[in-house]
Amino acid sequence: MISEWAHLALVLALPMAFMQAVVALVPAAPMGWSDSFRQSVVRAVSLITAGLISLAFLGLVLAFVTGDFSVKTTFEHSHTAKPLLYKISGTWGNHEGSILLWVLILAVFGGLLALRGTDGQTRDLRVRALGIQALITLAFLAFTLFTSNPFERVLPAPLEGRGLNPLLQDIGLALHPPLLYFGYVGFSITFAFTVAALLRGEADWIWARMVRPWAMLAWTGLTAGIALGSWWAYYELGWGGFWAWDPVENLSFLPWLTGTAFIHSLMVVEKSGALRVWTLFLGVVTFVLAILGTFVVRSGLLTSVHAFAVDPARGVFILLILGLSVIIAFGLFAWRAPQFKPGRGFAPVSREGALVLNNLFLSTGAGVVLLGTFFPLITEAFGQPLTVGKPYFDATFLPFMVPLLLLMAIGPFVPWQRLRGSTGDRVRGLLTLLVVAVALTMIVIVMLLWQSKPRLSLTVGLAMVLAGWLLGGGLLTFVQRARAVRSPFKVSLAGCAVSLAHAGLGIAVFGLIAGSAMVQERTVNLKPGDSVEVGHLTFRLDGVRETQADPSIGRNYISAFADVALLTGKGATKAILSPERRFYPVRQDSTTEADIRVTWLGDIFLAFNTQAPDGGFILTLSWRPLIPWLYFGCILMVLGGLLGAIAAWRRVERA
Amino acid sequence: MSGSRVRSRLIWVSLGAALAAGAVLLIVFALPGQLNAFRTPTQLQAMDIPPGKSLRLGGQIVPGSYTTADGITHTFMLTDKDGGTQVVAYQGALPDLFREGQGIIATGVLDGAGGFDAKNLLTKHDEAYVPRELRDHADGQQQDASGQ
Repeated sequence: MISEWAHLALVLALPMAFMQAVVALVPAAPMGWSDSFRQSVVRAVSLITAGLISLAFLGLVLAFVTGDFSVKTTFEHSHTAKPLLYKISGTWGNHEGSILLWVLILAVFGGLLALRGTDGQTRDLRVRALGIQALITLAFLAFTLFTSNPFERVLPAPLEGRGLNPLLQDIGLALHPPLLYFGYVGFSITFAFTVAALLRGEADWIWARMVRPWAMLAWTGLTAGIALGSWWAYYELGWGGFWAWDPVENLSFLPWLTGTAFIHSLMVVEKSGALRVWTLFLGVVTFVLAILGTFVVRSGLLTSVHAFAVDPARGVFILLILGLSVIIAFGLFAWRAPQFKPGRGFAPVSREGALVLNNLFLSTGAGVVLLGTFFPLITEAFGQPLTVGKPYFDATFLPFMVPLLLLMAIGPFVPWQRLRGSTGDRVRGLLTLLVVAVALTMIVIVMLLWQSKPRLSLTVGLAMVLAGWLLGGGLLTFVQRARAVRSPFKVSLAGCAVSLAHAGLGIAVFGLIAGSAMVQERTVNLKPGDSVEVGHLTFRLDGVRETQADPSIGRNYISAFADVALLTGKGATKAILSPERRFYPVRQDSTTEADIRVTWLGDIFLAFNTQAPDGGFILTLSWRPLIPWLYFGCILMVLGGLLGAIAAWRRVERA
Repeated sequence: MSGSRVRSRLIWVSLGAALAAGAVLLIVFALPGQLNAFRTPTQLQAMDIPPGKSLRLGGQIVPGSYTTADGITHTFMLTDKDGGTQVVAYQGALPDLFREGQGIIATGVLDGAGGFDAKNLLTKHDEAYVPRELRDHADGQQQDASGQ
């Protein structure tokens, strides 16, 4: 019954979104409406749309929680013997539900934009942006209802569902897709603002100021979504580790790269009106890449470890949405762009210049990743598909990231418009940064040497100096901002945001370097009592035990644990780690659950693979230095993004 | 002012062009060694591919062909709907969803002695997912049941 109401709400949202688009985009004058009346109507309708879609989503969640198996989505992807958390997250652990989540976030963002009314010149911009947002919502609602309706029924209703794919019974599923979609869809608002600006033929500093909080928010969500996805792939075996340059990973990374360029070029537009056309271009491209990501993941066009079963009809529909957005947005762009007046000029060596470089490196990087990701499709058109792997991406992408990271530490110190101050000050500044970078790197390396037997090389050392440079740049940015206001407690939110985000990336880069070049790992066949050494660590397999399924506490699988003792130098037991193998009777599937011991300097990562014919147990034991830094750095970046969004939001409120 | 603006725009545009050119150069140099063609066992038999050249071999694991002595070194045979077969060796931990009768893609090189050394195995991730290339070449889905 609830599902019927939810379905009805979803169907009703369609005409509402249509009405919203029409009222917002058709000029008000012919209808005899005043601008403020039109704004009120659009705001009301978009809040109703958001409400209806929220109800529909809530209905689907309830169907999963209560186990209403007359709903096909629920029947195919849920089961009564499943923990509550996974019943809820199972709602978006399938195609239909995840698309409904996408539409929900789209509508909620629209609703948020509608919450506040304005007058004057920002009103027209907001109303038009709401109109564009309504068009996007309309397109994806139609997609949901016509190709992926989550409320399709199965009659008669089955008594039990088929269960969720065990790999998806994970906290990763509960968090990663919603955050990733939050990022993707957040860029729909900036896209809507961009198209609205193109329609009006104007993108001034007020426009940039209004777009920035949304851009920052979307960027923060996307950063968090990608980081969580990477973390999930890191501890889930068989997904290629924290970053494998898999097509699905790349596709989420592309809008991140252009989105990062976008949030930086918006600053230039707000400050001096320069880079307007380029910024509008990025605003369009970022959202197009976000839709492209959804399209490819949902169509199975590229072969990936993260891909799921697909239906070609859906791919065609999203391709249609993608094509329409590209044609409309770039058509508008080609028509309007030449009409924009150039902004204030700036010297090549200036903050603006640094931000232009940031944009150039990021977009070139995005270009080579895009090409590598779609290489199989391009070559297939000429014969047979050829894929490229990690070596291609390392060789073509990293050369653009090294100068970007080098400049990133300096950029925030360069004054706007042109250089000021003396050459001596600049040299002193650079030397300070270099000293800090080397000192930070030395601290990290000494800690590693003291605690473990790290695999060090000159390349690793130099790469770490780069990370230290970045971290030092972030820290010194904060010091400089604090000096300017004579107190570390009075640094502006925006100043804290840039320091945190940049320093966070520096810490994450430490983790990336160590995680790619310094991992020590062995796959071994052990019998109880056997010991093995990995790097500085000594392990002993103590035994293997089993536990039965217990549906009353939500455990729908049988487990085998390998108890592995971590030994001290003298042979005493320091800790016991218990990697696990799970068997899910409902689906006849097994999964490997790694046991990870997180320490300040790295992860001890154990996986229990299987039992060999000779009776031994196959274990993968590894030491992964600085991996926690990768995720800690990402957390700092997300915090920085949030602060940046708040700071940008306050500026809009004040204006 | 306008003269310097034209000049600075020129600087940025040429820098952008230089970066793009650099990207093209990097790609041109990086690509030849990195290309992984997709092959089926039948195609592999019909072609003369030098050992050591990386490629992606897709097919179905022949039921009954999987063997391991120590649980770390694995060998199995892949086949496709045209009947070709290829012996594959793999070292390390097997993916969770590795099963006989199932379609997989192995990335690796020919060892020169008739075998294929896989560095990486891509299996299904979800019971209904089949990599696109395999859909055309191996009827992974239909024969799945026979493997169990």
